[in-house]
Amino acid sequence: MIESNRAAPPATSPRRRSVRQREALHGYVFMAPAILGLLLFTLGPVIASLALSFTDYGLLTDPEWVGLENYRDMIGEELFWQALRVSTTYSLVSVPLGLVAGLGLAVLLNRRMRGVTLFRSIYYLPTVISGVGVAMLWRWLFNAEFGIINVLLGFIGIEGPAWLTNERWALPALIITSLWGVGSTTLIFLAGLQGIPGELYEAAEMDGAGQLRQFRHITLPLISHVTFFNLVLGIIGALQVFTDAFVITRGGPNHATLFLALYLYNHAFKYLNMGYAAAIAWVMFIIVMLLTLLVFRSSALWVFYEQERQGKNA
Amino acid sequence: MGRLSVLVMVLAVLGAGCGAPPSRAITVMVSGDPAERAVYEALVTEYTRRFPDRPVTLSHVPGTGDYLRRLELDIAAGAPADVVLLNYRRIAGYASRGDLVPLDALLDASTTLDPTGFYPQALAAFVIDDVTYGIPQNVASLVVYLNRDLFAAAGQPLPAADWTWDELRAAARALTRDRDGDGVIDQYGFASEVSFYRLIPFIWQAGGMLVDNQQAPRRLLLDTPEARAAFDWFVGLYTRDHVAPDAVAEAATSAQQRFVAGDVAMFLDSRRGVPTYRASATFDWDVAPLPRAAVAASVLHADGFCIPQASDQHAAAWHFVEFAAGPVGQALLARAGRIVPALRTVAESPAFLDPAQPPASARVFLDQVPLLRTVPAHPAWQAVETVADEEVERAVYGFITVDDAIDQIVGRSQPLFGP
Repeated sequence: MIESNRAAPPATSPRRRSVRQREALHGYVFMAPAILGLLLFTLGPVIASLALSFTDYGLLTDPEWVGLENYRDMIGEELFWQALRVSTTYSLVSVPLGLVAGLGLAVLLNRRMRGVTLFRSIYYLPTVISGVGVAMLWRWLFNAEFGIINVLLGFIGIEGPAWLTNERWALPALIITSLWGVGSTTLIFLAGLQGIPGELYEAAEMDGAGQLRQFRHITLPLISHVTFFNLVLGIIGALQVFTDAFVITRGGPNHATLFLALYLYNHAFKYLNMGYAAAIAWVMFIIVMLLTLLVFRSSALWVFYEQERQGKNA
Repeated sequence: MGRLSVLVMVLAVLGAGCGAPPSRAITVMVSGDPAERAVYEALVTEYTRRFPDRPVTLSHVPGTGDYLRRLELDIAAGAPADVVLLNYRRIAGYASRGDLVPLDALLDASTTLDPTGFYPQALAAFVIDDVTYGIPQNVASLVVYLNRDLFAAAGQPLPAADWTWDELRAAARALTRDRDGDGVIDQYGFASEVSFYRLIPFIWQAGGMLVDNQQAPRRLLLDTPEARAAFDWFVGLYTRDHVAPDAVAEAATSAQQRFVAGDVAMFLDSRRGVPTYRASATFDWDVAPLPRAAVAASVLHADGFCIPQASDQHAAAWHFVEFAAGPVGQALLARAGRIVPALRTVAESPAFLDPAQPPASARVFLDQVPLLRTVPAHPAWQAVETVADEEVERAVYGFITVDDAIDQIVGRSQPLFGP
């Protein structure tokens, strides 16, 4: 967009236009694989799933139109509310926790010290390791009989719970697991921190502001747009959690970790209720959409953009 | 006439060769653990040794759940394997949608397979509305696997042929131990896969029925005193008697692994685990019939070779099925321990009853044949079991009561039987 503002010529000569058209054409050609992929493999199935959500479809049988029945059934379905509860609880805890941990790590990794790049790599590494492999790892770490977490807790005199088979501890275990992937949040925060001009801290220091005040009044406001970005990503990610629950707890014990995405999977591939599963997908989409909108709306109150301020001053 | 057209004509003549063996390999899909996989690899190897111009590729998916999901998706995609091994409980769903080739005409014309040679219970399980959809490889049933070393060490007598639920429970109590005294049980008297299917024969034994109408089921009949008694006895082994691994123990080591490791005295299983036990168990083991209550009954465990309609190699697939379900294939699978042969002559032969191979009491399986019952052939049965499994698991691990589990199973399965 910046490009077009700058390059827009006052009077369009035919030659210039043709150059611009050619450039645009080249642009579209380069984008074509992505656009085609989006249309064929994302938009197509998205539209199909909306249509399927109004049908009774057993995968191997032909879909049969049932109107809003799937959505009505969902309201009366006890397990749907359980899944919604699980996903909500998880999101409410894991998203803020992830933000705090990510920011904390980013602040530590932003220091000038020897070997900091090594630490940055170490903290980012988990993000690039395959989800299923990591989930298997955590399943054994949390094992009540010989998992290392309870062994370590034993060293300091705490008898660890039966994490994955106890209704009360299974979800907390998965929340702890979610912190493993905090590296990407950290990386984005780190980029934000490095964008803050050093003079601001110098000026604040001269005015007598301590570390804490600097953090509160300079760092936090100046990375609020990064926080906003991480928050939106975090909410979307948390509501789509699947791998950990599928591999580590399979939704148990007693449905304590039955996430919405797992509930959807069960209906799609265990009970072969594709129509109902499509309806769940759309309800999930609407929830994610509403929450994202809410965060976007609220952002005017707490997100601060450097450009805006400059724009107003100008 | 150019060289190209000559080539086309030659190819046409070759292609028209009636009964010519297929050039493309057929795919045979099975599931199971590594020992089972080896058994089917041996079967395919023997087939290709006898018919070198009929190539076969074995496709193996370890877990049953993954296997079924894979098959459903393959069928939906129009590209399933040419021969699939399916439990009779899964047949009705596929048959109702026309996904499996009816085999009656092929069976009638076969010179290798004689329908009267099969145990009628096994063959009948693959017949729906007078159409045969699978040729059974086995006529197995649920039995109790015994770790005889643990019985001997505890001075516990081995089960009699007509033992009862109470006797199993008493033996399980006597055989459950905390061997190293650390407060954690490390030897269980009893263990089982936690599923609805394991519980079903006990419902029949108590005099209960599974459904209101075996031919055209409309609902599960689990809310009867008899079914409740069976449910309560099975769940009680876990929640009251604590003679079977609880959720924490199961999460650490599966029931079957515990049995193989020698830490379970009595383990419920079909014939399926035998190749694994022969390969891995380092103790003396055998089988006993299920304990009985008011009625003696057990449940059929039979898998059949089926041909998906979407396969484009029906003739080549059938040729393999004839071999695998015929006397040679059956004898090979029986010697490997995997099956209780569905062919009577093979079942009564040393291939199955070889006294040198455990389990020594293999005849227990044949004695149970007259007592075998089947689950109803309903298209939604697989989904019914899936729902019921979840609730059985919740009850066994003490999250809900037996009454609540029964209510949940009956309620949640009701829509699956149709309006």
